[in-house]
Amino acid sequence: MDIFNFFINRIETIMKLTSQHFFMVLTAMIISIVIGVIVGILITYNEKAAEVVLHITKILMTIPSLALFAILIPIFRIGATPAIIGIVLYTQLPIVRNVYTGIKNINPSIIEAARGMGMSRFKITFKIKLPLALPVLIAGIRTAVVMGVGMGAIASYVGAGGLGDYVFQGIQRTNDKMIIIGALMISLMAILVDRLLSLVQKRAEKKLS
Amino acid sequence: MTDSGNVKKRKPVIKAVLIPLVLIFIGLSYTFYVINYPQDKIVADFVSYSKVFSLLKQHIVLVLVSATAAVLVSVPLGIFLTRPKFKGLANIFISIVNMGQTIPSLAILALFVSVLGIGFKSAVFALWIYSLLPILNNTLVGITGVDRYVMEAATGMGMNPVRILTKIELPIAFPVIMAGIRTAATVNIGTATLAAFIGAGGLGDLIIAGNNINRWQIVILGALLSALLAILADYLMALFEKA
Amino acid sequence: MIKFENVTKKYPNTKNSAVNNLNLEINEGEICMLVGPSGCGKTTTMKMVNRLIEPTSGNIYIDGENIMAHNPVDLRRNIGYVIQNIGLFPHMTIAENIATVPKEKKWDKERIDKRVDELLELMELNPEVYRNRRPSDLSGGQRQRVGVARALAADPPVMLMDEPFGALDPITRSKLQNEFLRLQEKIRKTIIFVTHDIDEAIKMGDKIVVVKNGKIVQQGTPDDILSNPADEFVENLIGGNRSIKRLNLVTCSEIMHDTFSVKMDTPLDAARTIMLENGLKTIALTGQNNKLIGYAELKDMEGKTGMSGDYKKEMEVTVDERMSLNDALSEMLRIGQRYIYVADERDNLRGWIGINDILNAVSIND
Repeated sequence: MDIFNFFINRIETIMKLTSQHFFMVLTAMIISIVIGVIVGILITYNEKAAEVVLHITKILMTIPSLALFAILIPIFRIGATPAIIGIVLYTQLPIVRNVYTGIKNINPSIIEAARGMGMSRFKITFKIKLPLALPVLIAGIRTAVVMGVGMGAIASYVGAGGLGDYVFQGIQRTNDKMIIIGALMISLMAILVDRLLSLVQKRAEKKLS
Repeated sequence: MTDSGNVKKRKPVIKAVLIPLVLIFIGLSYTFYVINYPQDKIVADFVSYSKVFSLLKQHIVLVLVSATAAVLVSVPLGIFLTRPKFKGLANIFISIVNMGQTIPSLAILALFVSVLGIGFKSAVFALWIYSLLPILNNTLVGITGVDRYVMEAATGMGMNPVRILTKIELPIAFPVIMAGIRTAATVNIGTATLAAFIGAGGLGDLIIAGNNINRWQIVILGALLSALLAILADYLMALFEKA
Repeated sequence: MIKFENVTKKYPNTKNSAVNNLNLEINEGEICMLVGPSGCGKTTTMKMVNRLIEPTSGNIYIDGENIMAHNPVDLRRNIGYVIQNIGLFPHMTIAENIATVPKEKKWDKERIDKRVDELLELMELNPEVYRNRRPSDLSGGQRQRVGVARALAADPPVMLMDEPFGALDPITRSKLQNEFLRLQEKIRKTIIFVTHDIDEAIKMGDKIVVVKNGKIVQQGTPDDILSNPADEFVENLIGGNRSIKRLNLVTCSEIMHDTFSVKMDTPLDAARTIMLENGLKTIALTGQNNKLIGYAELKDMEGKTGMSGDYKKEMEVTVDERMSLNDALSEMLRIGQRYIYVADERDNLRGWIGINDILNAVSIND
């Protein structure tokens, strides 16, 4: 009950951190999706480039997120900027890879039919390829967003704010209530976002089956 | 014919040895560079071979202990849950595990700290739970994914359940289980840097300390070594899987 | 209408040309079947017409115009294209699929809607039912019909068809082939049709072009190819039993006999007289406009009075006059009968065919 009272008393701070966390991740994801989708589409035209790009994004992910943020500090100072850039870099792999495989897995006769009927390359990309790759793309976005929420927590370390603040402060002050509330709020956000996107994903899949 | 066969075989062996050596070489040379050509006096005072290697050792111990424990628990658990008696249970577990996998690493670490306090123990437990989930998930998916007709054929030929498990299910599910272990280990190596926040040491110490004293050489040393470790681990396990 | 002039296609890093100095002319309103084993260059030849593949050298003309003078996208919008796996867009409705090219050509919505319904009806798919369905809701045969409808949408004078019926079961395939031939009588397109199935080529083609290693081995009417194969390759392609293949060449209307029939209300006496005078055991019964209704047997009429229609038996099976002898023979074998009545598309009685007529028709030239 103690912890419940603690939560009620500090609800304002907690909500502020929650919305800070949410909008940091949202901003990063919008940028990440735009870049990832463009890169993912472009590399479907060149096998060699695809291999290189996918490899680079995979290696980016082996860098611990903590280290990625720390490396970005000397360049972008502390605050939301290195956090957002770090999340964007880190979440490229699931998005780029899923756009790429989503498009590559389309039955080639569908693309050929579109070409044979005189659709332009631009139209084929936006009217045929992207809609058909959508469920796979959404699955990638889902993975990326869940990763983003987790990274957003670690990003508190580079002064980006968000719910991670509560966890780090709790550890520093050995305040269990802060630690638990911080951890639970972060988990809740990740789970809710994941469930929501899973519904979107199922709808997109249903539309195609 | 035999000659060309030998040539084909020899090449991957060279590559198999070469890539780990290159990774180790990169790590060693950067460590050498930071220690022998430090940015300034502060860096020189902070790093030494013995310090870097003891942090590296700590990191490896954290990962090895938690990952091994995770394999030892989740593979048998996965096998147990996929027995016909518990069929319903497997599906429930898959959804629980899926939800568990969405919980961010920092949150899990924090929750363990609130129970076990700061230190090595919390870090190992958190890493253990965090690697448990992908391995359990892949064991369940791998075994339940074995083609129904293959199972029927095996039963029809009079194989008993133990032989079906060891000769059919596990061999077919092996690549999927291995993929789970690989993912778990690579993610684990990155997550283990967070252990430094709760006083459990590891390469995260270099990143945090480097950041605190504002010395990029040290931050990058921590980042590079953990990234190389992750790539190396992934590579070695891929080799093991093929062998 | 379509003319290939010294057309060669050589892919990089290959020794032999996929298509080698090919010359071919296809007349307006003609179905030209390109037939040969896989990898012979027939598909490459076809795809050069809508520039999905660009020739290495040589020229292709449609209606006297070099296709290279057009940009490929515009060119393709004026050439119908049907492919083996149909390539329907799974995320679009049937109507949206069919509307693809009209939309590219920026037709107004009303015109597109009207055209879609018209085509669905032409394909014997009820627009009310099928307009808003998705390709996954359809059977293989229905999807293929939609594929053809989509290719016809903007009424292109030329159609390219790449094994369009290849993925269907034999019964559906034969049905769609017949439907398509009937359709072609109305629409009169110039068609290049690629197949590896010589039977399909014989059945569908006005002209057959046999291709091997990128070269034309023989071209001619189906009858030419069957009666005078140019070499061993063509002979093997046709396979044994050329007489049986000729079954696909002759339509029922070519060999059917006139038949005797009586109206439903013809008195029994009159009917019996006709049958006895002509030595018939059965006689067809027709309604208004010579519409076939059933038949009556002499043995049932013995010593009875009344109307012919009183002794009507249901006609189990008839054959359409435009169907091939192969179809007629299969029906006869199926019901175990030595003759079959022939009707036209409106079910009007046209004649009958006996099993001996079929034997005579296919064994004359051999």
